[in-house]
Amino acid sequence: MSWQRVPGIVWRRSGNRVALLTEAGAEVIVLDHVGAVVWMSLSAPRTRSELVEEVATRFRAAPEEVVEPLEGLLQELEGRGVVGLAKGDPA
Amino acid sequence: MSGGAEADLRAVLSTTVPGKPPSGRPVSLDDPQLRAVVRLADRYRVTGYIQQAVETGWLEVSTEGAVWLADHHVDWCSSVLALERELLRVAKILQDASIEVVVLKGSAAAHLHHPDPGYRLFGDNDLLVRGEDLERAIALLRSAGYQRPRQPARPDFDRRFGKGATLRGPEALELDLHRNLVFGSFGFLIDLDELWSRTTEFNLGGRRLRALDVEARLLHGCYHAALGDPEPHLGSLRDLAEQLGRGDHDPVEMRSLMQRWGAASVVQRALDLLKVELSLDLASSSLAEGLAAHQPSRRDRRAIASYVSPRRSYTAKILATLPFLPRLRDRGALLVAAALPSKEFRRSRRTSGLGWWRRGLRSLRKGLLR
Repeated sequence: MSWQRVPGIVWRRSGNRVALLTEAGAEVIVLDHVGAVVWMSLSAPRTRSELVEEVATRFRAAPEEVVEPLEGLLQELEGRGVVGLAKGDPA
Repeated sequence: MSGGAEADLRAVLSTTVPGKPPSGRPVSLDDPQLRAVVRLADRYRVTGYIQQAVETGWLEVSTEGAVWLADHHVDWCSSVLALERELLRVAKILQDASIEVVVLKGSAAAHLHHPDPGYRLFGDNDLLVRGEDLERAIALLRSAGYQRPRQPARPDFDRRFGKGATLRGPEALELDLHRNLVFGSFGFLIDLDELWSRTTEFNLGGRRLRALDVEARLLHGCYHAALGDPEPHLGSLRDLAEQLGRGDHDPVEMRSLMQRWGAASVVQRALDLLKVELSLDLASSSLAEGLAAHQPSRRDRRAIASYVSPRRSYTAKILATLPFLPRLRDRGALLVAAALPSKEFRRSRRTSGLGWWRRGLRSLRKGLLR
């Protein structure tokens, strides 16, 4: 299962944050820390395990510590129309 | 530092130019100094380079100062994102109606020139459309919520002589629709067909948008830096410095384009301003070398003065433009448009027919025509 950025979003990095605006969003969404790392990693579609590895490496954490919060974050970002599952991937 | 906010800002702007050797150890600003520099940078929309200087370690600020600056930068980025989303909407409206568009400056400069687009901030959108499409583009955008506060001098002025039109859109977002890169004189030397053939692409929100190619963008940067404002604009100059610092243009092609479009005096002035305002001496650059023997003609000097002199005026710009028009018929039409503008034009400038003439006469008396 690969995650990807939703097309049509414009964004900027500022320090360790990412500001982004969806096509229909009323407000700019600012991602801090893990959210920003996940967004930057999604310059190409990534599987959940690739994202876990990336975040764990970046924050010097064990992968198993990262799995649950990352899952929550991806669900949150999906709900806000920021990321989604790549086409052809099962939900 | 600090040599005062003005000096500090100039130091940040020149130090962050790519390819420039690092100027010694990092420098620091205390919180009041940082706020003063940022206030000034906001005026020129160059606050992103302060963020860049902090991120790259050249500028040291307190932890509180860094947090404050980052928040301020994110606020700036938010307004840029609103503009970019609107740019995508406008480009789609025009492209769906088979109107070609090329993005100028702002978003194109951010994505094509800068290592990180967040460093390049901007306050409006600029799009190039073909002269024959301009009227239709304005009509389409009117139905999409845009207004044109200033009317053209005559109905056919935009298509024949104008630089373009400034429109105000939803949430007061400004859009400059260009048919040319510069108003008047030097604009008539630009081969607009060639301009349209000199394009590249960049990615915005997953869509490909057209921008000018590297040499045309560099020349546009020179026009803007040299003629855009009576007082040298630090933002325009920094933009030009970024392009020159990247050095990704072909110097032979650049010199050839500059000669073909009669822009040597403009480029020379732009390089001079970089030296004076940002202490960037590009005398050894291939572009400057090609200008070493250039002496601006009287025609060019008058034309440049009509943009940047403290006594500049619309009348002076029109009169300085006449020698750039080879055909007598065009000169006559331009004079008529300037002398007898439409009612709508005068109304949008809040002047009567008589008031317009008085203004023109005042310009003549100021001696710009000598």
